[in-house]
Amino acid sequence: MSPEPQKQKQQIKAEPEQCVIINQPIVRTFSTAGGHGPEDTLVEGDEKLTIKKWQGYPPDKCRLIGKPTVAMPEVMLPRVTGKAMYATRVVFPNMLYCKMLSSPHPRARVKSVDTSKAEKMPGVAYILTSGNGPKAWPVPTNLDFQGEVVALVAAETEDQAEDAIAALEVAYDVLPFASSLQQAMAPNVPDLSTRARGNVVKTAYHWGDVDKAYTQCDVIKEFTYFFAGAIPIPFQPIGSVAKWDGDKLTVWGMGQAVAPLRNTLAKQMGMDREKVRYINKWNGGTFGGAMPSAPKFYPWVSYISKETNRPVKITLNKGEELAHLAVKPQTLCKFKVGATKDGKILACRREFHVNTGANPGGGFGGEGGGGRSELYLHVVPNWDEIGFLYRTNSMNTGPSRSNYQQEFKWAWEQMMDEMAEACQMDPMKFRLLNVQKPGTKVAIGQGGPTIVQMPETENGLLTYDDYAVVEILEEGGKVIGWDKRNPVPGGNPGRFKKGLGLAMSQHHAGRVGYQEGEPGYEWVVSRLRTDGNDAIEGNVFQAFINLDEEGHVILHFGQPDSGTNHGTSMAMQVGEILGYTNLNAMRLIWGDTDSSPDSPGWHSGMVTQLQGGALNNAADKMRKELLKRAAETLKVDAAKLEITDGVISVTGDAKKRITFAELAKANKGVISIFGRCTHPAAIGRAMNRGIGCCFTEVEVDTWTGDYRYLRAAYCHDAGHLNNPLLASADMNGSLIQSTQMATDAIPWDREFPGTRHYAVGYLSYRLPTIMEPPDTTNVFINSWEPRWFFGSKGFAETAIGAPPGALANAIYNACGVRIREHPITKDAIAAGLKANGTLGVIA
Amino acid sequence: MEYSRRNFMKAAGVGAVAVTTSVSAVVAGATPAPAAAKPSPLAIPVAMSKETSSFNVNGKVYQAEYEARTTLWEVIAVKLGLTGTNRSCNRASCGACSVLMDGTSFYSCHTLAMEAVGKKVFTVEGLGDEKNLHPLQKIASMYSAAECGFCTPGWEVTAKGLLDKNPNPTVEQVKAGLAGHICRCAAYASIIRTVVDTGKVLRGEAEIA
Repeated sequence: MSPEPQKQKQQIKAEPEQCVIINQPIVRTFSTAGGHGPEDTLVEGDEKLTIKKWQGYPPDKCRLIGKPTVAMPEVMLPRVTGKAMYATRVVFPNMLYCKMLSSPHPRARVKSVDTSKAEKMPGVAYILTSGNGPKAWPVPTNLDFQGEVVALVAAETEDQAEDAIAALEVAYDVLPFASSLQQAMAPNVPDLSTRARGNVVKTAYHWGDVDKAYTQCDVIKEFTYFFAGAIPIPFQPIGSVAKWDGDKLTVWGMGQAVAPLRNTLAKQMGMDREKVRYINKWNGGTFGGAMPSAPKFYPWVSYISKETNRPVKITLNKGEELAHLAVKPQTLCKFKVGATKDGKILACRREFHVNTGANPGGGFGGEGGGGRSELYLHVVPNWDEIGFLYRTNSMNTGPSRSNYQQEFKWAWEQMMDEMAEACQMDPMKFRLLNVQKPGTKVAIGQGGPTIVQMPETENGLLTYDDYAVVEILEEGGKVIGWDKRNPVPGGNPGRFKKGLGLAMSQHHAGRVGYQEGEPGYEWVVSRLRTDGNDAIEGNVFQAFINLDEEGHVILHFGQPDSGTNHGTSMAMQVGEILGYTNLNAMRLIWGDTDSSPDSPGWHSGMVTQLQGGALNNAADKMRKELLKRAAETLKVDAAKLEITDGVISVTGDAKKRITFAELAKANKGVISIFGRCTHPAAIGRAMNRGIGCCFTEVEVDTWTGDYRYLRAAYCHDAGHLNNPLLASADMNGSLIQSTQMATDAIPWDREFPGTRHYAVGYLSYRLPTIMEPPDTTNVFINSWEPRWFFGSKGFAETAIGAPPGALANAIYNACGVRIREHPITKDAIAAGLKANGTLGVIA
Repeated sequence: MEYSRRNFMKAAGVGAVAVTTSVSAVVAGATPAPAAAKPSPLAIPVAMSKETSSFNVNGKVYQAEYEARTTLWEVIAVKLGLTGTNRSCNRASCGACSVLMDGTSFYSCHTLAMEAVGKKVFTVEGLGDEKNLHPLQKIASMYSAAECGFCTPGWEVTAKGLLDKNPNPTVEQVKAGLAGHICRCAAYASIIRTVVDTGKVLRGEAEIA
């Protein structure tokens, strides 16, 4: 018997699943202001700022950028081995555990807290109320939402702390409240205004003449949509640990910044910054919503830790936590839209009402500015908008998997679908007709970032052609099979009806900046200087790179990771600049104020571009410095040198060479170089262009109203995709999280609707499980942003606004039911089918 | 009353011993001092019987003192210092805290420590460390199946339990096996690929490049 031939073993490789990458031509003929011609420099707008194209690092020469690359081991391996040091994992032998008493009332004042019984409970070490604690950050007595902190107890165990919480006796002065949007809009609403803001903040924008334009329209339609709120829910419970060593305080936290949180905590504790160390390397997800939640507790655990001279930990349970995360607000949008019979939108009037919760004002939902980003790319020549932002006794609202996207796009993208139908047009063609395309000129003041001047604005007009609006629609349409779309809503035969939907998104697209040394950097920073130190600290990203004697390139940057893997992306960029073809020599030091220079925090898809910009700035200087030193050592002209994987050699004479490690040894220690980067948004100028969209296929059971999410094509203008492996994995999550926001409203408390969650953790909030994700293809368009390194630009949240509208539109296409009132549920679909007379029809 | 393990335990009357110790004042560094036995200030019992047991975790035997109401998670992650097992919802609904007991996956946040006595407990620490990664961990890294990583230790041990029993699972079997695990980063596609391909490696049909 002859031996069986050996079967070839399958090779397991780090490759992304179902990912399409489309490269646009690098030199393009349509270039107007976008820099896609053959020139080496760009001259921007009225300021005439000169920019070196690709910052000197063109996309077509890359050896590392664009390769599927596994996340750096120092970030990834601790995740899979259970060693990633989340704040919840920090344990000390003599640690105290905190639990909190939270307000049962939507609005109340604390008259008194009787701690006498609780103090005598077993294991109790400290009780914090408004009567003690840090003066600059007291426990509140004015309670503006259900779940607000009333007192904290530190004990030997969590159970003992909870026992003592139950023994606290609080007298409340219970006040009238308004929690839901409906209550806030009622005529007899109580006065909830503060010094920071009134009950209602109105915003208004208009250009053109809407009423005159309506007279020229063939189709005029009015629509109303309601979004009932949603929440991101990070997996790691909100928590922190504080520990004192003499007069030095160390806090392990959870959030999206390092130095800014250290600085705030130092202020709240009345301490010098140098005496506070803040560590946050890993987070179990933050999703924006955790940004304001965890830091609120840092001064309190720090204070208790000091008073008891023991490490102190707090971990919120899910019921407590849901009241403190920033949530997506309830949002009501009304439109009156006019278009010509061939589908060109001429006029739009929009009225919106947002429940901005207990926010006193300012950021985190106080302004409602994100609501206009639909206009980043749509051309609406006549626009009239009025917005109402209500202060309520609900929890804080704010950025949570984007700022004001899903809730506003829910309305906008359904409106676009309904207008397309009213104009008897295919929704994709309708969009292509009404979005800005390369070459479109938009005047300042006409929506989106053009409300303020872009660096590229010339004589009041913006032309920006570096985005792939046509390509995302066409390539995504190919992947999903848009040409086979059911032309009549509900027109497919049978009980189970399939349908396709489309929606677009433009949020925080194409973030890029200016690196130290270029004219744009000086232009921005000189204006920041006049606003003082806080403006500089809040907007200038800093980093340094060390080259050690073993040839390691060590990146120091002050950002935490939330599963975002930005450290790996930034290492790829630095590696590319320094001539590497892999990441073997790269090392990351991050998330600790003691080991990295101050930087602003991260959000909005900016970290890889702007914190990365600071690292790239350092890498660019490092490259030049190493070439200079090598040229001196090898006694050749630096222009004749080339670099590959830590070896500098003379072109054409590979024997004449010197390594990075040898240069560091010759330096008698690490070569350390600092870098900085900023962005024009810091001075009120937008620099965002990019685009995303989502195609969705569903199947509706017209007997029950149940539906299955079958397929998705999730499409992104990526600039230059750094790492297809991590980007694809990240975008799969973005799609599912954003879709979930269409299918779950916040499960409000039964007793006080609109006030807080019905708090049974995940049991009451239907989170997507492994059974649900659709068959997803990510489509990345490399559009080559000429202003930035390698043609890259930020796209982390670009497409994120699209999935809810895409799902609603697909359900309409499948079964003819339009869900204008969020969320999309089986019951809502069944009710729509019943109203249409199509429920349970035997085909 | 909000549903919680603690309240459930009270309602069930476990460890209904109305003996308490007290702290005489709120003092820095206070430790409970023995005091005269007296009824609890509350109607519900607050002090629980102390137990000491041996726990077999990843093949090693540990001693731990705990109360009747103490969960397995608290013994593993707090008392034994094996912090790899994360607790997220603390309501037996997310799977983050999963450990194997005699090869079957349990939510350790809702398993009483006493239930694990005499059983073999397996946690992420038993799977492998950075110098000696289990194929599940290697492939999870390669496919980015661990994004934020907080759910990872939980689904990894459940997947290990699944593969031990069924080394050749279909995609549907992997989904069914891991349906009790929420991943908020929604890395589900990568998790499924990881478990299926780990099966191939364990069966010798594939190798990690």
